[in-house]
Amino acid sequence: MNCSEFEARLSDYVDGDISPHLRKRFLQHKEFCPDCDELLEDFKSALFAIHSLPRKKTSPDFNRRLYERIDQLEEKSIWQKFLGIVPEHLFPRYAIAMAFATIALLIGLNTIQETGDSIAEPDQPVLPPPSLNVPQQVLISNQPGLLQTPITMESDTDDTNRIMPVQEGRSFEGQIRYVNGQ
Amino acid sequence: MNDFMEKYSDEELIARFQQGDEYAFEEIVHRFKDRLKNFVYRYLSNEEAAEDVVQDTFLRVYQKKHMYRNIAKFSTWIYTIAGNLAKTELRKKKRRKMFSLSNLGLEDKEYEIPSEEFAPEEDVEGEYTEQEIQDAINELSDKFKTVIILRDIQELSYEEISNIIDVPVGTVKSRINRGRIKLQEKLRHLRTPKAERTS
Repeated sequence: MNCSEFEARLSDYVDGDISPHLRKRFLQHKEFCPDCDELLEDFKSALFAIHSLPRKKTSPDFNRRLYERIDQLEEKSIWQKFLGIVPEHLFPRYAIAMAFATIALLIGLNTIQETGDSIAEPDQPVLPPPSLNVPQQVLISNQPGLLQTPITMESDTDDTNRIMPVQEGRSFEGQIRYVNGQ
Repeated sequence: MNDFMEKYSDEELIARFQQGDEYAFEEIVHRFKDRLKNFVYRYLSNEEAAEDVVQDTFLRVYQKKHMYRNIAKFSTWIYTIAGNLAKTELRKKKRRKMFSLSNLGLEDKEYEIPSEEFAPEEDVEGEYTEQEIQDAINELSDKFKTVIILRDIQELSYEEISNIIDVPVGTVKSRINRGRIKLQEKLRHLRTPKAERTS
């Protein structure tokens, strides 16, 4: 037996998994080779070191934490079963997001349309420039075409921010009409 | 723990659990939790991460109980799950370590290389401390480390190791021998000279 054969048989020898014939040759080589003799000593020492490592144990609350996690899994699983009436692949996250986006878009479009209708009122008057110092007659009516008490306003440059008083029974939803020069 | 469960083999327990017997699962946890913790701890050398991996292993068993087929030993199956999860955790740990190193300034590197987490030093009978032995194990490459832990710490048979890591028995034997030689090389320099030991 040479040194490389000796090295290859180290575990077999230490584990006792070696035939008597090979064992004899192994020991003969060890007897005449100080390097391999030392190698065997170091090898056994390393094995002894590993075998003497302390056994690690789980922490005292290991079971409690494990069964808590299992309970959480079970709860999830119940919800999945409940939602499982519709297979999961039929309502993936993207589909739900798309549905919400579509609803938001429809609401948005509807709002824009309503706002657009009120802006595009055909009888909407155009305010005269505040620099024109002419009296204005404001007519307010709750019903289109029906004139109610006229309110006469003197227009001057300082009145641009004046708030028109709201009288009882009148609404801003009614038509407001400015008549110049009356 | 239900004492009447002790009479069942591991394979009988998982069969009972597959049929809905939760007590059988409890017995499986009782039998394997410390064995797996020891295995995973020696692999990761991190107490907290090892415990998390063992928890994840049992959760997998719980969720995937029907995946086990009675063609292999149950211990082989559960060790395979734990080993795979431990490997994934080790990869994550290495990535985190690389990231933390790459984020250090040059002047910091000398002082702030993150050290491995260890429990307080425990006395190991013999010439080495537990940390020295663990360091030597950590320095082994993955393929040697796995077989050394399974054989010399978990004391599994060559056949079981062969099934767990899915390589032929001959390869397992050869790897174990080479792994042990590498380990003794790493530990040799820590050994006191023969003269000092005998005096």
